[in-house]
Amino acid sequence: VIPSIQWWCSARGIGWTWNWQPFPGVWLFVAVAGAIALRRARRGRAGWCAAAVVLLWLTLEWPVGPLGAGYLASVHAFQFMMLAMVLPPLFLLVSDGRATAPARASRSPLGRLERMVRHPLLAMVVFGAMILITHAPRVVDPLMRSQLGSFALDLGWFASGLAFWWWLVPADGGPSRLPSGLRVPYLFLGTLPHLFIGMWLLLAPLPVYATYELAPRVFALSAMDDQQVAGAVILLLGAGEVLGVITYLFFRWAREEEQRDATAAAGARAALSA
Amino acid sequence: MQAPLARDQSWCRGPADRQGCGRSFERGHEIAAERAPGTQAGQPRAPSITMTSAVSTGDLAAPARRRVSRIGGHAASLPKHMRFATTRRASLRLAAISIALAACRNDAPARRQAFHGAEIAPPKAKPDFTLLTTADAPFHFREATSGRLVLLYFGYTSCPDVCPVQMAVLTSAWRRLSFDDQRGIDVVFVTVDPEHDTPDRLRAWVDNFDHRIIALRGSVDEVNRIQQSLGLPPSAAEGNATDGSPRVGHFSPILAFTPDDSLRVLYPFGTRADDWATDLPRLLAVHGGRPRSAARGALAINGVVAAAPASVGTLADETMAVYLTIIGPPTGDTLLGARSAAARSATIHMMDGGGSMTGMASTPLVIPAGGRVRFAPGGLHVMLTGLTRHFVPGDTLSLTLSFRSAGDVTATARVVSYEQLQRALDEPDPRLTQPRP
Repeated sequence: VIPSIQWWCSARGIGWTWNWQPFPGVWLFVAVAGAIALRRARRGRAGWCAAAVVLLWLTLEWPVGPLGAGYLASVHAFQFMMLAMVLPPLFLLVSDGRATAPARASRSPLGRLERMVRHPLLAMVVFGAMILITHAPRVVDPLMRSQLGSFALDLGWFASGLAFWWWLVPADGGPSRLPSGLRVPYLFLGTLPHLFIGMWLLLAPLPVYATYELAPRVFALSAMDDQQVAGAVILLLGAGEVLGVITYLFFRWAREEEQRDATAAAGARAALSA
Repeated sequence: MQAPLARDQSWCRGPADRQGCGRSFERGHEIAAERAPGTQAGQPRAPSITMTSAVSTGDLAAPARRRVSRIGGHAASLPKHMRFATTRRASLRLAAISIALAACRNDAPARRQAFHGAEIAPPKAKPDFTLLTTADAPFHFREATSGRLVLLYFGYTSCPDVCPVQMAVLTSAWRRLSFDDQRGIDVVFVTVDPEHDTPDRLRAWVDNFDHRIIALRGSVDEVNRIQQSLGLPPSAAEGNATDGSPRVGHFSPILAFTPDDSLRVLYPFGTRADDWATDLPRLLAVHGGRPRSAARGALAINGVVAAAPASVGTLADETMAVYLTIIGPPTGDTLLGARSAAARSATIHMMDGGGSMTGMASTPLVIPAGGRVRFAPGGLHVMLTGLTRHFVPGDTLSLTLSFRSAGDVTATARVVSYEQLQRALDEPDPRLTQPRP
């Protein structure tokens, strides 16, 4: 029996098979995202941009997409990490300034709204809230049953991830938009919900999501084991990435301080010699 | 004999069956999430009130069917925008009515007793049937499970989706219960595909979930008669899947027989481990309290098996080893010795790691509090020396163990051949021998 074609991956409750399924919505989404990204790619970064697009496609395409949508919480967690934590900074790194232009300075209502929306605190709160809300069983289980709901989850992670990382990723190779002293607290506080979600999934005594608990089993992995792997994926990937970025930000800050000191010293020497 | 039921959402056919069981498992989580209007999965649900009339007429599949049809029927037939609006309005009205009723009535204790499955009113008596275990021993269902909470499931090992999920969810909750509660429960799996489910295959499959599951086999006709006696539709072979594995349509809910030996609740696909964890202690407490309440917390002996001796000469020279498991009481106990009318002497022996006999175990043998001491080949065993008669597989003999606190406990050992010994020891034995009160 040929299952009905879906435009986006969602939980269907039928046994898993390794027969390829088409997801036209995924292709369209990746094509649009890819077109925008390639058009706005920085010079010399087209290759990296294409790699980011391919990574986005692999994250959403069969078999990862349907496995994460209806069978394995661990794959779903992997998709979440990719869409919220890996792909947004990657896309921002390869894009030019037009895609991430600073808020307009006008005093018009639109300008005020844009400045308000483009506030780091708001981006951080939205990102954290998105993570918490989209991992609540009462949200996940109903959403995963419909293609639109599943699409909304994926899009929400990606969009909130773009807004969050926009403040940290250096624009056009220059400094980050956030002052150096705020970057680490921003990153730490913004990704704190990851820690909470990862620990919760790892330590929960029973499966928390009906979608994955009642799904036909894949790879003989029990629902509890699968959930614990999901928690570990979020904890390890999230913590690894955050620690890596914090280390990078620290050394970058140290280098900036050294350069500033060197500039100041050179200025002082020039003043003395004059 | 009840008339077979029409196949419906409680009927499991296979992954492609989206109208039958497929619907049930396709939207299985909806059953949990939307079992009662206005409630979510994991929330306490109001007692179901829709199934009593149907069940009283013998239609046991009706609760599960009606429950699912309530989910997928009316709401699904509406346009999406109307569905949302209708649901929201209905929810608001329902919430207002619920609040008003809650304020007027004080029926909270009654609500707490509700089960997450479909309750059957009036409950049906436990059927009396005999099938074979995976060790090819007869299992008298009513007698062997009398006074215990029994969760009976009809399924098959090639089932691609519903059977493994039902068993996995149930056993994950079972393992989370207290030790005493776990001991009061028998999970019985009856295969509806005896042609392909050989004893070894069946044993291996149920062991994936829990080695204590009692797996039973019988002919298709026997199993169908049992199902029909319960008012369930008979299972039916439905050809093979594309990968060649057999497909059998069967009734998919789990049947819960409470310790008063009556069928009280049906648990359809979609019941979650959280629901089971809540319901199992309640089911144990139904009518007459917990099973074996007189012996709760007492020492118990389980799985007593003797290996039939090979004839080595005179009867007086024959020896026979008896294996068993002792379940310690909460306070612990000490095994002082053993005796049997079937032999001149009965001593507790221990084999060392190399397989040679080291003679008497260090007596008295301490039985740790709440722990299990297993007498098994290659380790502890009761050695009967100087048998009073020839024992052959199928015979039974009486063995009395003396404990410091529990006193004498007499158990009946089943004699099996050496070839059957390991399987007999692996086979879960729900019968516990306990001290007389």
